[in-house]
Formats: sequence, C-alpha cells, structure tokens
Amino acid sequence: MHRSEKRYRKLILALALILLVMLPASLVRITLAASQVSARTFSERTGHSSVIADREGTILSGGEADFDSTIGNLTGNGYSADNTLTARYAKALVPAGFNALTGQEGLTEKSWKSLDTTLLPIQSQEALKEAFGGCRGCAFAYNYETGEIYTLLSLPSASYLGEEDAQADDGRLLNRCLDSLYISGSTMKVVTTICALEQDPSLITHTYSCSGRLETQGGMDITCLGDKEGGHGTNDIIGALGMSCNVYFGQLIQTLNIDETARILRQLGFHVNGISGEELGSVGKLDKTVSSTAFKDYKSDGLWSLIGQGSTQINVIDMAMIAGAAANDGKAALPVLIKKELKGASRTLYSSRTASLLSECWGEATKTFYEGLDPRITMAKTGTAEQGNSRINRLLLGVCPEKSTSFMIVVESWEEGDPMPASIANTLIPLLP
Amino acid sequence: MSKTLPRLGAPLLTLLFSILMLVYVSREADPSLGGDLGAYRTAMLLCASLGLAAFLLDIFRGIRVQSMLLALSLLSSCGCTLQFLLGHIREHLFYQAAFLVTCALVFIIVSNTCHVTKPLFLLAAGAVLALLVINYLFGAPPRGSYTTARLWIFIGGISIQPGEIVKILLIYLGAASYRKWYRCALSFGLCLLSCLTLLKLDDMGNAAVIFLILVVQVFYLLDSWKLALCLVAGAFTAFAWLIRHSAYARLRLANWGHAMERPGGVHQQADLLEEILFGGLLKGSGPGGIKRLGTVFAVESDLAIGALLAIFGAGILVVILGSYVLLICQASTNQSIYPFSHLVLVQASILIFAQVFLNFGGSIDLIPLTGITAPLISLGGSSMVCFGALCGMCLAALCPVLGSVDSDRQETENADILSNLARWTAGSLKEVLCTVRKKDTEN
Repeated sequence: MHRSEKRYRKLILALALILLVMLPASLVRITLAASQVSARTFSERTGHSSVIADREGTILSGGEADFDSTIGNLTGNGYSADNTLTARYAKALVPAGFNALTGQEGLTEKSWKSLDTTLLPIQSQEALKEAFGGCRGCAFAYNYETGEIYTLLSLPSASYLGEEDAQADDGRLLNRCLDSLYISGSTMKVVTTICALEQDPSLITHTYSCSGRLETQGGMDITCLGDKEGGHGTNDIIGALGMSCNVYFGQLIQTLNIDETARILRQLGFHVNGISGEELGSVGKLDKTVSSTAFKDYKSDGLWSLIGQGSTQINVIDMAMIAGAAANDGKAALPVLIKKELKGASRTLYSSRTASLLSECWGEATKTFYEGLDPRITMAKTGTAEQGNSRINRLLLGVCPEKSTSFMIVVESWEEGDPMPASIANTLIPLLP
Repeated sequence: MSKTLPRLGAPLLTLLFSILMLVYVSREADPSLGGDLGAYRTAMLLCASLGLAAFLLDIFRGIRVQSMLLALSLLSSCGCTLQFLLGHIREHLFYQAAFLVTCALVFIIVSNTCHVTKPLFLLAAGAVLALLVINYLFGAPPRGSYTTARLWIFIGGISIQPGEIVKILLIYLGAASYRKWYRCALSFGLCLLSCLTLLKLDDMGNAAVIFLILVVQVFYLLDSWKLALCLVAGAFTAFAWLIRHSAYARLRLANWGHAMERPGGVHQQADLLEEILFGGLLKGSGPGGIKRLGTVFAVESDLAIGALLAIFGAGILVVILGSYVLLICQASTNQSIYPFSHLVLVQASILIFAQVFLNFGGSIDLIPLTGITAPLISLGGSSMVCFGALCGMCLAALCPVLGSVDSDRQETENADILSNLARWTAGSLKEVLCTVRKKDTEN
C-alpha cells in the first residue's frame, strides 16, 4: 500500500491541477463562442440589430424589415437558408464592441453595423416584382464595368413569412439567380456565336439556307420552331440571330472544331462534358450554380445542346456576364453585391475582336428583328425553353450599353396573358442608375 | 485561546460568505422570488452550519477537516443561491437537509462500526446488481426531456436515479477489497458491468465516472502494473465499442464543439453560452437578469456551474473550482494507515473531479455534454443524498477514530451501532471536560 499511497497523492495533485486548468480553458472557450454569436441573436437579446441596406441606405433586413431569399432574415423567427447574405455575412453583422469580458455592456449605438449592398432601392425592386404580374421567375441585372449587382430578384420570394410558411416546399427559399439552372433556350445562340467568331471571324458573313429542317446523323433532326413553310430562307448570322434560326446554327456548329468549341465554352465558365470551366466566381460569399453543357459530337444531341435545348443549363448570372462582355471588349466585371467589396475585378471571357463583331451583328439583329423593346437595350436575345407538360419558360438576355448593364430575365411556366420578359426589361431599364 | 482563534477561520469564512451572498442576492433578485426568501435563508444557515461543524469537530474530536467542510459550505451556498434564483429553493432545501443528515449518519456509522465485513460487502454487491437490473428494466428518461437517456425510475411521485447510488456503492466495494482477491474481482466486474449497463441506457455521464473509478480501483488494488494495464485496456475497449454503437453517444460526440450552431435542435449549451457572453465574464448578468437563463433546459442540474458563471461572472468560478480543488486535496492530508481510508478518499477524489469536469466542461461545450450533476450545486435528490453518503465516508476516513480500530478486528467485531454511537458521544463529552480542565489549569 505504501507505493499506492505515493501514487494516490500524485493523482490527487494531478486532478486538482486539471480542475484549475479548466478555469483558463473555459475562458478561452467562451471567448471563442463570442465570435460565433449570430446577428439574429443580437437582435433578439438587445432589441437592436445590424442592418442590410440597399444602395441608397434603405434597410432591407434588420430593424422592421423582413426576410428575402437573397437577404435572409436578421430578426424574428423566420427560417434562414445558408446561401443568404445574413448567413454568409454573419460576422460582418456582429456589432463592434461586443466581447466576452464586458458582454452586452460593451455595446453602444455606434456598435451596430450596416452592410450596404449595391441593390436597387427597395421601391425599384418592388416595381420590378410587380412587372412579373405574379409569375414565378427571376431577374438579374448588373453593371458589367463595375460589377455592381442591381437586382437579384427571385420569385416567389420568402418575404413576410413566419416559420411555418418558410418551410413551404415551393422553392421560395432559394434565390433563382444564385441557386437555379435553366434550360437556356435560344439565348444559347449568343454563346454559340461567340464560339464561332472566336474560331473564325469570317463566319460573320457566312450565309446558310434554312428549309425548316436539318437532317442529322441519328436522333432528332434540327427544326425551326414555328417556321413558315420553306423555313427562314438564306440568312447570315444577323438574320439567324434575329429570327433564332435553329437550322442556320445547326449548320454553323458543324463547321466548328469540337475541341476548340469546348475550350471556349469552358473559358466562358461552362462545365463541359464533365470538365469544369473557368471559375467565374461566386457573388461575394454567396455561392452560385455553374452553367453546363455536354456534346460529344455534332450529331443530333450535340447540336441541340449548342442551340440551347439539349443538355445545356445556364445560370442567369453567367449569361449576363457573357452578354455584358460584348459591350466591354470581351471583359466582364465579376458581380459584386456588397459595396465594400467593389474592387473592379474583371475577367476576359473572349477577345475584343469577337466582342466587337458580336456587338455589331447582335446589335443589328436586335435593331432589325426586335420590336417593342426599350431603345436603350441595344442587344437582346429571347429564348423559349420547353419544360415538359406543355409548359415553357421564356427568357431574355440583353445589354443596355447606356447604363453599362447586362441582364437576364426568366419567366417560368409562361402562359398566354402572362408578361413577356421584354416588358419586364422595359420596366427594369428606367430603374437603373 | 491562541490555538482556538485560527480554528475559527473556517466557520467565520463560511458565515461571512453566506451572509454576503444572502444580502446581495436578496437585494438584487427578482421580487417575485420573495416568497422563497425564507427557504433561502434557512438553506444558507445550513450551509454556514457546516463551518461550525468543522470548528466543533476540531475542538472536541481533534478531527482536522476544516478545509473540507469549508469547501462543502461554500459549494452549498453557491448551490442554494442558484436554486433560489431559479425558483427551486424549497426542493433544494429539502435535498440539502437530506445531504447533511446522510453525511452525518454515514460518518457516525462508518467511524464507529465495523464496515468491511463480508456480509456487508456482499449486501452492497447485491444492491449494485439489483439497482442495475431495476434501472435496465424500468429506467425512463427525465420527464419533459428531449433526451433518450433512461436514467430515472419513477416510484409513485418519487424519482430516483439508480446510477448515483451505484457509484457510491462501487466506491465502498472498491475500498473494502484491499488484499481480498475475490472481492477485487467482484468489484472490478461490477464496475465494468455498471459502466456498460449505464452506457447502454444512454447515461453517458455516470458511465464515464464509473469507468474512471474502475481505472483507479484496478491500479490501486492490483500490485501488478501489467495486469492492471491489461484490465484497463480491456475495459476501455468494451467502453469504446459500446460508445461507437450507441447512437446517443455518437450524437453527443458529433455535437461536441458545435454547440453554437445548435446542432439537431439542441439549444441548451448555446443558450447558456450566450447568457454568459451577454452578461459578460467580468460581472455576469447579475441575480436580477436571469429570466432567460431560467428557461434553458436542465440549467438547474446539467448546466449548474455554467449557470452560476452566467449570473455572477468569472469570480464565482474561482470560488467554485477552488472549493472543489480544496475538497480533492483534503484527501492528500489523510494520515490514516488503513487501506480503506486511502481507497475511499482516492475514489471520492476521482468522482468529484469527474463530475465537476463533466458538468462544467459539458455546459460550455469544452467536452461533450453528458448531463452529469455538479456535486452540491445541481438540483437533484439522488445525487445530493449519495454525495452526502460519500462525504460521510470521506470524513470518517479522515477521522482518527477509524485509525484506532484495528482493521483485522473489524472482520470479527459485532457492529453495534447504538453502543458505538453512545461511546462516541461519551468520548466527545469527556474531551470537552478535558479541554475545560486544561483551560482552567492554564489560567
């Protein structure tokens, strides 16, 4: 027992020491926890909160304002998705002066922060929302020179919802601009044109004849939707873009080098045939889905993908960047949602020569074939994507050089009587700064 | 007189602490708690009486346990204050009284009777087995709890936590097994069985404490290091295997370190941490600002030390951890030559350490949350009564009366509690008279 006696005194000493060490260890743990307190907790416990504001300083969230699928909620019981400003900028919204030692007493009026976004004023957002006439869809617009995002509208949104409604399984908790992919429809033809002009600038003058149908090796032939008997006739790229001639683009694509086309698409941010493209970046800390396409050859499926119906799925932000680069020497600023993060970073998506040629032919096509658009929209391309169950999505990709803005609008499950994307675009342009 | 004054230190300190706490808390607390003020005062008086007991034991019996009773008194005061603020003081007062009575009874019984007899050993072993079977068959989660841990058995309106009783019985079994190999084997076996059974019932906290008791027993009862190591390794393997296959334990381990993210809807640690943070470590939220704290699940038991930290700031943590350290260190002052004393004290030390470590560490997410109670602070009848029994055993182990009893004779001596009690009281009176005579001579 003598040996045991010695041992047990050492053990007791060790136990006492461990307990004493718990004191500083616990203080460290609690101090670490201070950095993990959510912005919403501050609101609940103090009655104040940091705020998220639009470009004019109007509060979008925090205080009395409410939840939105982009913003998230700072106050109340509402559900907060991960990919929201509130969730991703939680640390930036934690008030200054709060620490584990002084706790709530360290907070003063100046402690509360404002996370200023580049978004259009809240009234403009509401006007845009009304232009959708109750339809689902999304609208993205940004300044391709500075990167400022003007709108990330996603409908339906989760505004003014309580906890129970926020669980609704209708996609309202997702921001469609960030988290959704759409079948591109004919808006893909702009991308295909870029691929063609990058490979051979002389293609701008090539003409192809459209008889309404292009036979392909296997699978479905390429046809023109709603074509007149005899097709669109002979056209150059201006006419093909303006009339959205599938047969023309089917023939054009077959002249392109398949590997080079895949490379250019990856440069434009597309995930092609399972290989990731260039990283066009997230929107600040908010993740966005990446556009993708697949074509192993230029047989039926491959052609349809590049025309915009096959396995091509686009993210509206990617498309707006690609369109904006046409008016900006092939460069597109990386989209930014938070004013403090505006650094003017941009990425070259294609050559300035291609940009020049594209803006020339696309501008001419818009001018000649698109009616009823705000004249400030000098480049526009509509698209129609079949969703099955006889539902279609209507898309519009456009550029307004006067406001240095490119945009994409999607109206989901469009039916007769629903607003066309063009009318929404006409509402959007005057709202831009 | 010169020798008496320093001995008054413990009672004076406990009295001072109790009065200061009582005055401060009564003034600052929520006025709606006014109805419980009487119960709180009584509870604090009981706490202060522990200091007086230390003085009396020292003066009349020569038992130097001031530091232990001082620690018990300070911790009891903290516990009573917390339970008063949380509105559980009446219940806690009852448990506090039960603690004192149990402590005194066990102290007297163990000090004056033969307590390592074979029948008593077998009775304790049988009780452990019976409690485990009852817990396994009838154990249920605490009412209104989200946890699946089947810790409790409900008999009529009374709820008992068998795991708490098992711990104390196992400590007795371990202490009474020195150099008795069949007893050692039985004690180890029961420890392992208890540990695995409680783990199976999702009582992670008590299982962990018993595992540590087993480790201590194995190392202190076996002379062979190699054998001890093999046994501990085997026990650890079984323990780890069961943890791996327990969905509840896996969940608790997975949540560890992520409390602020409120994993799986478990909010109690995050709520407590936020209370601590918003109150500030320097001052705490104060006795008047605990409305939100009172709504945190199991704050009066599983998160008790953390709750006191939230109310009074880091200062109270120094008092609490210091008191527990004092309690543990008291064991090292043991001068007894008897193995029973050593083994009781070392096992008690490990139990106190484990419970404090698990309760406080778990409450602030330093370690996984186990739901174990903090001795003397947490609300809980079973834990208070059992801890009272343990303290009684420890006091007896530190008491010279035990040293005067020959350990070999204990086996054959007839345990006559009443006659021993009378002898003990007569001895005390004799000493009082001696002290008075000495003083007269000195004068």
